Amino acid sequence: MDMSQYLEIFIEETKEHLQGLNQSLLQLETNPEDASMLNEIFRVAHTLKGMSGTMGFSKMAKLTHDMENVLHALRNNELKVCTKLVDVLFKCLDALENYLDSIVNTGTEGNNEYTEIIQALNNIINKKHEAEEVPVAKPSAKPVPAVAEKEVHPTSDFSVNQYEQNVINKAKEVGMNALQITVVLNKGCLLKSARAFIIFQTLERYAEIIKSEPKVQDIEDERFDYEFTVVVISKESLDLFAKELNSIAEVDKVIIKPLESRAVENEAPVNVQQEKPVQAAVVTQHEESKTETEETPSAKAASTQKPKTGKTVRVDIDRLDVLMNLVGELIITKTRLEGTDIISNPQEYNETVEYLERITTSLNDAVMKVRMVPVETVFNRFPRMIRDISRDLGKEIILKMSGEETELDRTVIDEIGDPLIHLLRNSVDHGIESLEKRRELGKPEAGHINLRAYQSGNNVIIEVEDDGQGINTERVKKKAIERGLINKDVANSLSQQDIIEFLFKPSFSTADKITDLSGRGVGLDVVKTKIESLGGRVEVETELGKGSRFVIRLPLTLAIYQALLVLVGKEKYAIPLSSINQIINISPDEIKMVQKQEVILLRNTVVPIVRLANVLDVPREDKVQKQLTIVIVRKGEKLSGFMVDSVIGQQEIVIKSLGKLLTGIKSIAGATILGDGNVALIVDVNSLV
Amino acid sequence: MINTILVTDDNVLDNAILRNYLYNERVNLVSALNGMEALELVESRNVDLILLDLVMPVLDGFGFLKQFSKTELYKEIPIIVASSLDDAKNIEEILQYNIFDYVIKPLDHTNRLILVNKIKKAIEFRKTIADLKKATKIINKVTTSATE
Repeated sequence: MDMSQYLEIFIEETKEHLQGLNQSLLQLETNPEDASMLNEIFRVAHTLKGMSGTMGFSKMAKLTHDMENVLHALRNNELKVCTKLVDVLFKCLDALENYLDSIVNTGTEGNNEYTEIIQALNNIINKKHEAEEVPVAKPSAKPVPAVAEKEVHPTSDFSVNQYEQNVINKAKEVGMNALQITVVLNKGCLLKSARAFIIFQTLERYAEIIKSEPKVQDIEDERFDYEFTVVVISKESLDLFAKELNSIAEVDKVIIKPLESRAVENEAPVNVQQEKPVQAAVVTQHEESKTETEETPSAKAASTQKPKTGKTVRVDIDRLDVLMNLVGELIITKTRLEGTDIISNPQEYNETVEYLERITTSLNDAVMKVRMVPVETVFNRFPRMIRDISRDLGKEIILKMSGEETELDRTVIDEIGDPLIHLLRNSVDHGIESLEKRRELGKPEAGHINLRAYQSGNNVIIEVEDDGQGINTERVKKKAIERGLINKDVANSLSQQDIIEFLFKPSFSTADKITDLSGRGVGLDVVKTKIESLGGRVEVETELGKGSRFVIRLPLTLAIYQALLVLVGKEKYAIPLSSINQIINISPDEIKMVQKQEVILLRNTVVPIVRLANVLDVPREDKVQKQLTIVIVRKGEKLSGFMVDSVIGQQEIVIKSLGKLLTGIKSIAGATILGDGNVALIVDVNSLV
Repeated sequence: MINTILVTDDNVLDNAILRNYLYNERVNLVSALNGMEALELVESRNVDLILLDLVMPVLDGFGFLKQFSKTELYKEIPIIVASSLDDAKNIEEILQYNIFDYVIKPLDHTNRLILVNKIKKAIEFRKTIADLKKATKIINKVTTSATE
């Protein structure tokens, strides 16, 4: 059986599941009591195991199997969530990711068995057994629940009988909570009993149900209106129940109120006498309930968050509808054009062409929107990364992210991950001070990093902001002088912004003693180059001692952009307008030779010349030109002059890739189809400068 | 006559593979990603067979069986459980329900062929029962009218 056809599904699904696991684990770490999160993790691990088993990746299956064992123990409360355990689980995820990488690249899972991780997992399990042998003083006093349900007296009103009150009193004595929970289901709920079943299951994870109204049997048989009330006894707090129950679908309202322990005459001999105190108790409880009800809506808003998993291709149906409409209009216009005679009715012809233009513009926008992906897909992996780095460095860091839903073109999304990782790492590593130093400075111990994304005009802006020590411009200046980048006199006249720009100089970051500097500078030129190759910009704002902010501006899309068409020999080439600085004409004798490199002097800067005809191997035409056209392009801080034969003009071009056969060709970034149907190659400025 | 199989599994990979194996059979596959969806679909579609996974989000296989066993359809529609849960406790719990068969995942090629065979047999079984019921009805009618 050939499984390779399923490989793609497997890879996509596994990627998604691993991402989900990473997030869930992080949440579990901060909130170890969250049983639903634990269940989610268990289930996903189980699915992973199943899938890798199906695909015959036995090592992956083995690892997930052992992982599942640990999760199972956690779920059964045989183990407690602790950082050490979470670390091991994270290691598992890393190992699984490695397996996946290997599968993506080679089609096999590789040979690494990760015995040390499996060993660690088994150790955890074994420790659990040890713990079992030495019985830890468990929270004793189980409030005899199983019997309780049977002894519930049939009452139409909701009241607590003496037996139940006893149970509640006992629970209170051992420090447990007794809660009365009323759940109102959505009126549109079709499978009431099934929904109720899910609710009961949820409740039973945390609590013992001692009473239910209507009775459990009636609820199971769907003999109830849209609400029911239960009394539970639990160690957990009211908030947890509110959160858990509100996260169940089709639940309209949850009313929870704590029940108080109440004196009940335990050995009251006659039945009749008992009823009175119980009735009184009910009345007072109802009064309490009013205050509680008000709390729940706010709890609801905060609760219903579950990690979402994204599908491989997810396009909003509305966007497809828009596309469909536009295509419809396109067809109408086509028929209209067919029926129009240019000669006899030139005006209608022109109108139609204008209309066509409007449609194509709208189509362009619509298609662009389809290609948009939320930055969430990139941001997702950052919390885990920050956790790991900060643990390594012994710093405490709170990462706040916002605007994850901001959308960017797929091509930009794929490229932006690394620069962002770079900036975040920089912030954690160099920006945020050590714990001791922060304490000394009177800053909060936990450093804050804000990662923001938002749209502004035709740009998407991503900010990385930290409240660390900021950039010490004086030291940067000193360093720049030391390295001979500027002399002292110039240095003093530079603005702060100019000084910060030095950080982006390649020569600056490759310097060996960068980490001696007050931070920053490590590979920032790489970040800048990358962002600029995407048509974006990087800016820095910093205040010494207060923190710094890196702002990345990105264009919404990369697929369509403005370019300059030039002629080299008889061939047309496109140069992205965003990287062009200026176009100049020079005479041949202005070209000088410096170190076997042709250069020109442009406003006192030496600019190397690249003869495109040579680089691109264009057949040479033997005519001597009196004037040469040079297109000055910029890559980061570097300038370079491309010698072309002539300039055709500016045009909006659509980038097409060169296809599989022509991958890895340097100096060509892609191709575009021109208005006359010819193909023009797009010059890759980055590789030529 | 095209038969409808309700595949209840949150594992899309298994779903896709099964779909291929059943490509040549005259079946229509309806997928549910959890027990809740399955309960809704089993009511609205004319399902001939349920293929059930056990570990699923929202409502798992156990919950599904518990709920489904209360409906009339439970007596009619055969259920094949396909799960990677292989411990006695879980299987015992499942076998308390009236299920047609239990297969343990992951499945290799041979076992998938066997599963396809089981699916075919189960559907045949359901048809036979339905036919038998119809026949009994007719016989009853005939005998009652004869006695009159």
